[in-house]
Amino acid sequence: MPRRGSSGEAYVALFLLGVVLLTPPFLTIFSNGGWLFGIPLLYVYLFLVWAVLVGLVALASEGGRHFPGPRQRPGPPGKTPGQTPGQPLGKT
Amino acid sequence: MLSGWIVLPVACAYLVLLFAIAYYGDRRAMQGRSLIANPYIYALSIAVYCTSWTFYGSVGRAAQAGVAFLPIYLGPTLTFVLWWFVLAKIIRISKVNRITSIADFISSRYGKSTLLSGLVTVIAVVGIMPYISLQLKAVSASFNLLLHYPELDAPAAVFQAPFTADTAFLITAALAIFTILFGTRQIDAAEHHEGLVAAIAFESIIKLVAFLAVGIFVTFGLYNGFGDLFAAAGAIPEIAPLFAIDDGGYSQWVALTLLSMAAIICLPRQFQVTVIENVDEAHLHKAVWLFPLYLLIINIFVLPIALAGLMQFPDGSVDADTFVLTLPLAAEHKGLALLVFIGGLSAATGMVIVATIALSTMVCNDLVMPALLRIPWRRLSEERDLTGLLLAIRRGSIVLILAMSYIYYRYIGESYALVTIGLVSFAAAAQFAPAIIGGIFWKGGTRIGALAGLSLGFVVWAYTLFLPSMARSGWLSLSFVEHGPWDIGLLRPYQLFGMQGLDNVTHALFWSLLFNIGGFVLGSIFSRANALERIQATVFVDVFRRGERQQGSSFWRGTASFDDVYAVVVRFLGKQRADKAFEAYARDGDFELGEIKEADSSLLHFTERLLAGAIGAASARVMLASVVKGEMVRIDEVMKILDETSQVIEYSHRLEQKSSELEHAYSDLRAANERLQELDRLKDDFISTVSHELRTPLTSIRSFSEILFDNPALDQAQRSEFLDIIIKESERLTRLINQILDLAKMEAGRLVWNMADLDPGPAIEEALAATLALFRERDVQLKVELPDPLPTVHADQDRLVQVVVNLLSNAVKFCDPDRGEVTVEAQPRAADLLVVVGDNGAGLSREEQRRAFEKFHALREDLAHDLQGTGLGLPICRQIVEYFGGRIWVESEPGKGARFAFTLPYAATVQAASSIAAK
Repeated sequence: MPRRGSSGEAYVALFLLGVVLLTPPFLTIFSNGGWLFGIPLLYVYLFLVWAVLVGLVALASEGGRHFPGPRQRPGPPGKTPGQTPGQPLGKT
Repeated sequence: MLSGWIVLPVACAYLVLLFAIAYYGDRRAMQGRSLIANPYIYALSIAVYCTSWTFYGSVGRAAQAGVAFLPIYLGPTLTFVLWWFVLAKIIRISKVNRITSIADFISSRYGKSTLLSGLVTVIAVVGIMPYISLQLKAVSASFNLLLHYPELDAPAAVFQAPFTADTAFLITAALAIFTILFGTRQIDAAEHHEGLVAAIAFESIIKLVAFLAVGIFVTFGLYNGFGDLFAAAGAIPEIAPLFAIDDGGYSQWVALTLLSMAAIICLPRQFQVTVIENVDEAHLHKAVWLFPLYLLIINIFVLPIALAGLMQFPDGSVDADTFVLTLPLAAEHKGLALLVFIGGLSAATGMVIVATIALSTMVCNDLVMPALLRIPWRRLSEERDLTGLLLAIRRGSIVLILAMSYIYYRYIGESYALVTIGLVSFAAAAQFAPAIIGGIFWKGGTRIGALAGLSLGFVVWAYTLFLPSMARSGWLSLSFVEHGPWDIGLLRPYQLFGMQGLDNVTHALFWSLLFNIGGFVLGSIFSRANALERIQATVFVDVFRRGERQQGSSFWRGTASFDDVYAVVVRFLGKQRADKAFEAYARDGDFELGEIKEADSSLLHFTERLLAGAIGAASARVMLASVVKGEMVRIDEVMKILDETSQVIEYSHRLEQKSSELEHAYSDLRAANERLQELDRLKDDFISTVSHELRTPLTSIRSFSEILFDNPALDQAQRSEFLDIIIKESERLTRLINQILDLAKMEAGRLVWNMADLDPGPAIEEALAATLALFRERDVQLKVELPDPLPTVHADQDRLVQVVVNLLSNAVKFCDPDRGEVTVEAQPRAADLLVVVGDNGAGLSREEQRRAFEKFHALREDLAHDLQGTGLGLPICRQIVEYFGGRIWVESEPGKGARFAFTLPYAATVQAASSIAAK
């Protein structure tokens, strides 16, 4: 779980887990036309993995409350800091 | 069948509600009480990803291929898992650099190239247009279905109606007005559209609610829950295969996962809501799991609805894309059908509005304006306020994009299912991925590489997906698809280079990304990045390494704050020199240094020259170039480049130092070699001299011996005279050999010394006693003046005697032959004891004095008759005295005798005492 000073390893691990569980070599195990609780196994499996993945990401990101790199002060909404109002668009 | 008099007002009312929400959102933003400044609204706005493709198309796809609709939603989930590395970085970069669109992002990364931003814009417009037309198609199809159900051949009827009655056209026009009103109300550099985001978030709620309502109705209304529904479906042999993935489906599964992973970032509208419209980075914490959760929830009922549709309409009379709507209609649930219609409308309008705004921003900022600014006669760059022009361009491009999408829908889009059209657009957007991902992690990516990758990828995409879709709609000859252009089989768009076994999208994705990534990597490797590209590469890749200071110190339109310029100069010149230089500059310009706030071009030029003096013209030019071209370049980046240069300078400086050290060592070596050669020569000289000196007595001994041998009749007197000479010469020879051995030992440092603290008096007395006979024989007077007692010295007793004996015998030899007089004196001095042996002889010339202590010199000519001299006495004396730590020299003037003097260092205790006494 990424705490202060973490470099996000938890997300790499979760990503790799997701890739392994949600792509073919692994999927073929569940894509056999089997049933679970009266529902097709593949369907249950996919949504279960998906839900667990989302839950773990939620745990990681809510637990960390931390953004990579130095903190950027959020500017007032709608305005970028340092931009004088009424100035024509700078990036043309 | 619902009456148009109900459907139309409801649709209009819904649009008005959207207007109201957007208006309210904008007002709250103006008051500073932002409506959207929370992570939930942010996450919901990202859900604009779910368009009518999701709302209608997913069911259609599920009805054909079962769970194969899911990768489109699993991909974004995976990308969001990696938010820490990708999304967070892109958002930070965009905030720091005030990025306004995906085209701006890519071009900014690769040296702010206008060519690149234009290319990205063109790809985006061409690629996304089918996607927008897909939404128009969905809305008009659902509208007609609602009005004409169960007469399901509705679309054909519509096209026979007058143009004004074309619902798609009406909807397009309404969307154009809405988009213009809320997307281009003002020009804001940050491109935030708060009201719009609020409206989009609201639409995300509506479409979710509507879809869940249908899902629950189908699953729990038409059937008794999931188990019942799946059991019923499983009983039908045609449907059962949908519960597994067939073998050919796996490659497509992977391709679609990859495609949607890229699309969630690279679709212009997703970039717009996720990156540009993000008001606080911290919102990402919640959004990274809320958005995937939203995707999960909205997809739960897709398969049940598809299965129910297949079972309710087993004859295939109903398009699977419309199951969401036809199921409630068939069950006579008009209210639910209306809700579904509104949900579909939400999904479609949300996408169309955001995509159109994102595209119009790109067309304006990255395509039209750069071109206009380059036209000299308009002198646009000199005009102060371009806001009006910008708004006009954006509104024009919104109308144009929507009009083109409408035309695409009318003439091409009809022939395809929703999902197929959407995938064509996804594949186009995926072409941005290598340039973006490569750009934020790899500093080596260059403008040429990005241009090569993007254009190759785009061309391959167009050839393998876009052109065939035109052909299949009848706008191009189909033979080009079936047999390849000019009947070249290898160039068939769906089997490029003979590749088979893949579906069209996977095939196109493979080839386009292969050419794209290949072009990007090879182009980057084989091209050189210019200074601005390198700066931007650092800005992007190292965005998290940069400190807080960056906010205040940006170059803006070719000027910089004086403080920053000053900081650079101080860094490389030191404070003192910088102060002096700027003071001189201010004096010349006749103004106060404190008054300068902005560094104008003349000051920058002055600074460049100043810096060029310290770090070279090239580095100073880099800085100036970055100031002039890169209006957004931060001082930190310039510093970084300058640091690199100064490192190079330091390195070359060290190299120079090394080479001078080498040179030094070489000259040392050469000197040592010369010295060795000199020593070698001296040794040869010494040996030849020694042999000569040895031969002289030997020759005389031998010749006298021969005379004695040959003439036995010699008289006794002569015989003894000759024998006397032989004995003396033998003694001389012995002495000579002893002395040579002594000297050699001394020089080699092998002589054993018995150094001790001793009274020099007895040593001098002993020497006098030893030479007394010599004095008597020559009748030389001896004067001795020795103070009593003499201070203790540190020396070797025997060697000291040897020195004095040598000097005395020398003095006896050289003193006046008639009234010979030799003096011996000793004077205690502050640091040492001085001993002088003087004579009253002829004295030595300056040249003789210089050579007196050389070996075998010994004033040989004068001593030809003297059998005592060996020429080694004085050199031995010098060796001994110097070993004691003293000094030996001769003072003389021709005709006034010579004084040989030497010093002896005191013993340690005496030395301390005498130095105290001296004080």
